[in-house]
Amino acid sequence: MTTTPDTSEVPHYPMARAQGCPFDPPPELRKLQEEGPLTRVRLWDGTTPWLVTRYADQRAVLGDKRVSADMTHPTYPRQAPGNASLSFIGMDDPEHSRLRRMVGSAFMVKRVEAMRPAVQKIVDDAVDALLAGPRPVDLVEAFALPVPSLVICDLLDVPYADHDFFQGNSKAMVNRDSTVEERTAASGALAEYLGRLVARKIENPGDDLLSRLGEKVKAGELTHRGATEMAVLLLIAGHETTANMIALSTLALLRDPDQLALLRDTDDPSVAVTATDELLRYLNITHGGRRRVALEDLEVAGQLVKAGEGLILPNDIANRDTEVFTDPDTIDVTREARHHLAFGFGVHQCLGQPLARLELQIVYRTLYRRIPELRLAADFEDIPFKHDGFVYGVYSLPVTW
Amino acid sequence: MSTPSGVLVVGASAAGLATAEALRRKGYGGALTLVGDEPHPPYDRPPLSKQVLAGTWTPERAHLRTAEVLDVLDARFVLGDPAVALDVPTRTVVTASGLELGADAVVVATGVRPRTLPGQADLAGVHVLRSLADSLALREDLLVARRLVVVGDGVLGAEVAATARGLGVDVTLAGPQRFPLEAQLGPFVAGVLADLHAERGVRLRLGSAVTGLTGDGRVDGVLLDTGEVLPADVVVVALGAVPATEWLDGSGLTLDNGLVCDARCRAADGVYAVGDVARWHHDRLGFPLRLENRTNATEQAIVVADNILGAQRSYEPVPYFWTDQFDAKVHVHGTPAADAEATVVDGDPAARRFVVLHERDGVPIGVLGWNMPKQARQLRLHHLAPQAPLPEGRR
Repeated sequence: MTTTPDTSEVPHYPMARAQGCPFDPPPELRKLQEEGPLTRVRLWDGTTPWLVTRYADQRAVLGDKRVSADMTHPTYPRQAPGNASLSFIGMDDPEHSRLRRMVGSAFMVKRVEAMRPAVQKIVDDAVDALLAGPRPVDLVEAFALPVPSLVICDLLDVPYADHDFFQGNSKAMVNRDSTVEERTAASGALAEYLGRLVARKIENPGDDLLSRLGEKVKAGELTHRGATEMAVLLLIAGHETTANMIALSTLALLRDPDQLALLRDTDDPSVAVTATDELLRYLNITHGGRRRVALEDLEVAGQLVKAGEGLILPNDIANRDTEVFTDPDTIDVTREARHHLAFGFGVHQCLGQPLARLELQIVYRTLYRRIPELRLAADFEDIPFKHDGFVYGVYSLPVTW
Repeated sequence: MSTPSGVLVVGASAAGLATAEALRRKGYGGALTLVGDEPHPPYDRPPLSKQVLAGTWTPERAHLRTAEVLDVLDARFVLGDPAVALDVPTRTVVTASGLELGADAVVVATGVRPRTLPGQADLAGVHVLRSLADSLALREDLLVARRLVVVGDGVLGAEVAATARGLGVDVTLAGPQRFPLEAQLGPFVAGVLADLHAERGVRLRLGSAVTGLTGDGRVDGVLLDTGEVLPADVVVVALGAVPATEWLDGSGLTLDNGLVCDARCRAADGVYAVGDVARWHHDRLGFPLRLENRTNATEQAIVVADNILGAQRSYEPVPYFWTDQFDAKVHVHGTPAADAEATVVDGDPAARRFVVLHERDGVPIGVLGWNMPKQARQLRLHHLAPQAPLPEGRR
């Protein structure tokens, strides 16, 4: 038996944040979390998947093999029209695991740790450039975007001569002022560039991630197109996310000078480590809700979810669950928050999290110490937030010192 | 006052470097020279009694900046060459090697040097801890030590005791107070700290003054005023520090437990002091103050740099320091006192997570957090006068 819910009373998802509370989840989402673990929401296309609001239930669903992340599934609750397939993110096992394993070793903690001196150098140079440049300056443009972009150049072994091309296009891809045509052109140019880079690595392999993908292409385990898609995924996943975290967390810390001082002044390196996870928990940056579709009938928090029904799991609300985090609406850079869901959970949990953590830790231990007088150069009310973006953050962050 | 064309910073540690960096950030483009008595590039001192001593950090990790970052500062570093004299009217500094360095503004950032016990220089196995070299030498001795006696029950002594205990050394902590850090934390919190040390196997021999050291060539014991001798094969003397101002004797500057300055950290026309060595008039507290802590080095440097460039800023911080010992992170705001009334206002001392408020005559004077740094900071904001040396934009 199928019951069609009465959609007139079903709340729309996503919901709007409250005026003046740009760091907090939408109030309606909070209300739903307080009211119960599961509720129907209505998406842009009129479908009414289940919204799972609580931390424990989200983890249970994300760890359940009976749910699928397949974006091509006919009832997958899509975020927007179109069918943007991002390599293995939108696939299920075993194909997901097979592809993910090909790049997984690059993100093993030990390998990422070996990148520390190079990342530190990138951050040091970026701070030098800030200090040598004009004031006030847009921290997004001058620091938050270039740092992760250069780290990915390093990871993919993009030749130095191509850095400007690479950075220019990755910037155009995420720039709000770019037209749709410019954005499409930029992402096309980057995909084409990465395709050529993979081809070059097949010819002249080195000790880098793309060369290992090249070997898989040569061995027939991966198509050239598949390798390129994966390179594009790594670029997108590793670039805009980290850039938004850097800018948004700096803004949050500037609004909470005590927490900033705590992080800046300590000699205890573990504070930058806990601060990284705490700021990820607090800010999330992915606010669109993780999406899944049930492959079989299953029970979530006592509610029957039928095969084919969609599930939406917004991590921003799960990371403010009072059952899991004491006083979740305040930042505590010394809090042990590593179990947050900002990187997801289960088999699709963010592959690049060791690198993201490394970059953020280094930024947190460098930027505020080198510029202890860093402050906003605009009214907080005038900071443009990315309410419309797939990744949350700020479009610009004017700062001075 | 016009922008100086040359600034000379005497002292190349945290406060000196922070002053130089703040000058550059504020757009100062003139000549910049840092003179340091040690051969190392600027390094951080808090890790010397913890991470570096424990061996979890290589010495290089304590460096405050990489070589590339120092390059960009575009400053001349004269290292391993201590300043020996200052001529105030011409603002000329003479170094041990005979260099004569003149500038429009001189910043004194020479820090402090450790107090010692009579006769300790003649005995092997006796250490002080102020420099990187001190930390490495002590570590070398601790790795083969059987019995360490730490002389001094202040922050440094207690941190060294905790770190050495972590290395598996038999440690005795000796000092005149009833509890370690009693003067800084008051009896209540210091009592919890004493419990922690005792639980972790540090032998506390407190309440008696140390009168000397015993040994022939190498130390073999520490003599207490009770006549008792504590056996030791390694001794750390952590009896506090005195401002390193000997080189300013005869300069005409006022030296009295530090280089005495006005509220703007100015000791004379064109001469400033910053960091551990500076004893400046804290306008809001109404008395002269000298702070030996890391946060002060950065925040005072920012004010001094502003004033060199023509501002007229008074420096009025809420004093703040932290100490890490075993699993305890203690954060101290304001000026707690041994005779203050102490109230637990958050957390639970039994759970080793708590915040204590110190009041005198009903007026809050200090906030101490034990593994609750965030809550302590919030209470500091609530109870203690607002911090003055914030950048203009945040006031």
